[in-house]
Amino acid sequence: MFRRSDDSNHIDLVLLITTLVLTTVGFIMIFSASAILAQQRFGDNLYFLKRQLIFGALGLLMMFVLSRIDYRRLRGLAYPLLFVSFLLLALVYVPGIGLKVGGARRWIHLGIVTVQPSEIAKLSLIIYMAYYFSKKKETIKEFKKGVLPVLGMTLALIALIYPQPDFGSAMFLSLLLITFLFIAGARLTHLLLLGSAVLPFGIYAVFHAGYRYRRLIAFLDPWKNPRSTGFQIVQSFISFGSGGFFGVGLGNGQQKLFFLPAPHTDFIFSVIGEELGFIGVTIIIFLFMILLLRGFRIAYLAQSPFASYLALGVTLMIGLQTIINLGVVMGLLPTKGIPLPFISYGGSSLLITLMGVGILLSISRRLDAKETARW
Amino acid sequence: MKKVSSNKAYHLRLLFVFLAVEALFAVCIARSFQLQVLDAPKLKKLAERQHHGIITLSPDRGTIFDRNGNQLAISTLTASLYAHPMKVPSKWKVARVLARILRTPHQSYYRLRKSIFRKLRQKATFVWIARQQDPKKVKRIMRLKIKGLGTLPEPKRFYPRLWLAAQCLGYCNIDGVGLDGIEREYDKYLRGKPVRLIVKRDARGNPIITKEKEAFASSVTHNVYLTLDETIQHITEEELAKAVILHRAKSGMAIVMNPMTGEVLAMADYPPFNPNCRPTDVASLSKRRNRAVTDFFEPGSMIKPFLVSAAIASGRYKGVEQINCEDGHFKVGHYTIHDVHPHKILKLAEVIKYSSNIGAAKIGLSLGKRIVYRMYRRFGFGQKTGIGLPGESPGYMQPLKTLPPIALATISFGQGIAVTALQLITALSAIANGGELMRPYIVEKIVDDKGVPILVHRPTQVRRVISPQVAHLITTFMIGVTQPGGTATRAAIPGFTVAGKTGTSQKPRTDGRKGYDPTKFIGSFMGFVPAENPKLAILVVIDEPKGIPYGGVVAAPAFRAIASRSLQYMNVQPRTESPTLATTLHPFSSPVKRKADAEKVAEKTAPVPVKKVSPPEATKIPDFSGMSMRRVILWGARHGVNLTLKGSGRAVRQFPKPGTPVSPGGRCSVWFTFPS
Repeated sequence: MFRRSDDSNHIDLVLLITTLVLTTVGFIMIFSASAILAQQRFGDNLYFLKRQLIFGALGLLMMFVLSRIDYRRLRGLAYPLLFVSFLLLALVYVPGIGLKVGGARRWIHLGIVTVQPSEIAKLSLIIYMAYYFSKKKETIKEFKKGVLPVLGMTLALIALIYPQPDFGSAMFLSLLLITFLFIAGARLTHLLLLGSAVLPFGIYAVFHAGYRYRRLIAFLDPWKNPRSTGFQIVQSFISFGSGGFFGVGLGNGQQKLFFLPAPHTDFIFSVIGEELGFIGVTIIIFLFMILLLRGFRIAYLAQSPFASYLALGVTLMIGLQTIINLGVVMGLLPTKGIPLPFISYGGSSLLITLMGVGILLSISRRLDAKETARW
Repeated sequence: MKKVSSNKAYHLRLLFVFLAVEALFAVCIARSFQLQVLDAPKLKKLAERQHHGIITLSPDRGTIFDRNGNQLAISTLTASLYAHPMKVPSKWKVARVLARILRTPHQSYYRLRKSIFRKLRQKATFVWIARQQDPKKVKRIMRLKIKGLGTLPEPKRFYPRLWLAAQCLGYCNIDGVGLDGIEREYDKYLRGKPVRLIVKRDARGNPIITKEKEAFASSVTHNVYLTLDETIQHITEEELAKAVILHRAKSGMAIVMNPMTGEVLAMADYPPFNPNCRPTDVASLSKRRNRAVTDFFEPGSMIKPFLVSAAIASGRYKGVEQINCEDGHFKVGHYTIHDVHPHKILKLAEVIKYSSNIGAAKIGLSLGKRIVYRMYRRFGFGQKTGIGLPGESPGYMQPLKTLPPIALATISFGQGIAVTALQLITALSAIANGGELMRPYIVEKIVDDKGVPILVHRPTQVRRVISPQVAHLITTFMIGVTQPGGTATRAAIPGFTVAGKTGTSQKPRTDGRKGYDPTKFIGSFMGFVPAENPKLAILVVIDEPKGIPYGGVVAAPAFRAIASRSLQYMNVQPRTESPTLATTLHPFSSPVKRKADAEKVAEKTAPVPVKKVSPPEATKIPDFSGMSMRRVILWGARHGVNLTLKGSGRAVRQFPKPGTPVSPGGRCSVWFTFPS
């Protein structure tokens, strides 16, 4: 399935091109979705695009650098990166450094730009997990020695991210951990145990915060209160529906004009649905599917367990976030704030995603010649 | 090295997760298909509803002109204020601010504030806050930059001549739909195509792309030219108002027609109304009816020329017959017919001149109901004239078959038959123009925006009713009415021959009992002038005058005033041999003569007490401001001052200034207006 076409160790061109296309689509859609909002709020319709372009350029540069260096060096960086992540996540809560936007403390000031530490934490955790699981191998079957350490590390990160509040990222990290444990070969009983432990926590989270409960109700029956609780999801439906098969054309969307919540960030895919139609939506989903195919292929053919887990982690980071985002905007999942990789506005997210792709590209240069790896 | 099995299992799990994730993507595509293809029609409708505030706006309504191109009804551009209530912050505060700016002196600030607040609390994406406002006010509001408020230009009907011809023109509702009069009848021409204005708006309620400009530009409206003459209409309304006020009547109506063509030159109803104000209650709505067209009344003696027409046209009478008028009492069955002035033997012409009911009854009875009915119908009674105004009444004629003999006698002098003012003036015009019944019309033409006529009314003959010879004979009979000894000497205009006929009819009781109310009369006069070459046919009807109710007293002077002023305006020269031009031109110009007239009438009629008018002396003009028109007219009558009255309502301006000495026969102008 993931057979290599030739023996030479080129970087994965398909992955690179798909990434560049998706990033470009992101720039175009951010401009389309945010121009009027930016004009109204900042008097500059390029406000959001400019910032995204800066991070995009930075991200592409990082991607290039990471694709050139040996990914094996990252092994040694697992703990330092985790340390930095914890530090940054803690700084979010420090007044004066942490930035509060719309009731959520998710960003910190770094001079002229703001950074979202939870994004950095995601990549750090992935590197740590790759390091951890490649080291543990068989011991993963044991709960104390195998599961508990990585679970503890993940929960520690979640403990810092969840109260921001960033329920979406917390959920994503849990999901990432469970997927990793499954692939690494953890006992299914352990997984079920973990799942049954997460469930009451999830229920508590939903009922503790009124808005989450309302979102859940809205997800179950968005048309019940299309003007209040179901507003976001109904507006998203309307976007997709009014786009129809061919879309209303780039820039012609109406829904981004303050009907859609966060049209340039979490709900940017609704704008795509309206402006590019079913055709555009399908093409972009296919691009993501190709990207995932290449990512899994790299994980499959990787030379070492560390490389495989690393490639898997990055691929899952992109894939799971994409699935969650699409599921939310199409009303298949309850509303939570997860950006669409490559496309949503958000510098940190784009930077981290592109760096992840850089790591994938670096791994893709040293794939095993045989179909299955030797290890 | 690892065990192969573990390695293989790892790769299998990897493959499983990969396929699971890809499958989820496939689900997303399926969901997208559902939303964007299967559910698209439903969702698109929802989308349209929320972004496209579809507002139906009438484009600029066409202008209504009089025959000389004076504007009677125009479209002005106003600003309408709307809101997206869900986007308006602190609604109570906003309502307070808006009410403070939008209030008018007539409106309670508190009520306005409450109604605005209620609108702002609605769960809608579009509500009108205030429509058709002064653009300056709306600009002031927009400058406050309140979230969720927006403005649209909207045309509003404006009647620059205010009360002038109001009942005739009709009026519009706020959406520019004609509700009465010309506005209603010719609505489809005046309105043009209503524009479904698609205002795309964002969720904050700010319009993004408004299409109103091209929409208004593309709409075609038509302009209507009426046969009305603004000046004659004004004269008619003024003189009608004076007559109604002077005789403390309930209401009045008057029509001026070109008898040769059937063109309506003026059509007036009193009391007037201001079509620029919206009707507030049912009472004010009834004032808006064009009673000259919609209401019918018993014509009384005014029917007699038509009866005599039947008599002559049938060949039974030659015009020289003598009729025994029985000294004022004539029994038909169980009923007795009375004449106001008992006569013994009257010539046919004198039956009209003195208006003998007994004479008319005898003529009617001798002709038989068929001949009388046929002639009435030929003159157009009992049928709509087809003038093209809404709500026209056909009048009332009893069915021929069930007509008892006494009814034949009474319809011969105008009881038991009901006509509209328009029917009467149209029938009179047929006598005036030599026997042709013309179809009356009030719309001369309708032109499109480039001035190209798309509908033109020309004089249309309905039928020849009587021969020119008969018409001529009837005219000579009717001239007698305004000659000395006739019932309407006050209709005489020096220098012109006036042919006419008075009418005084009782009104049916309104308390449920049969018969006529002994205290309620309609005094009327119809006539045409100059009799030898008629330019104007005029009907004046005064409803429920107090005091002397006779048409010759209450309506004839108004006829004279309307006719003489209109003839002067139309530059119709009087015969030069006229001896009494100066003295009798105006009803108030010679109070001595007026008094003499009144006494003459009083002598001839039942002893109705008449207020004696003392001979006037030089006096000073008082300050009229704030006075009602009635008081001003009574003052003018008492002091013999010729008044020119402009407008309606309360006096606001006058010339000369208060305190200026004026002697009888002097002039004074007073301007009136309703407090707006």
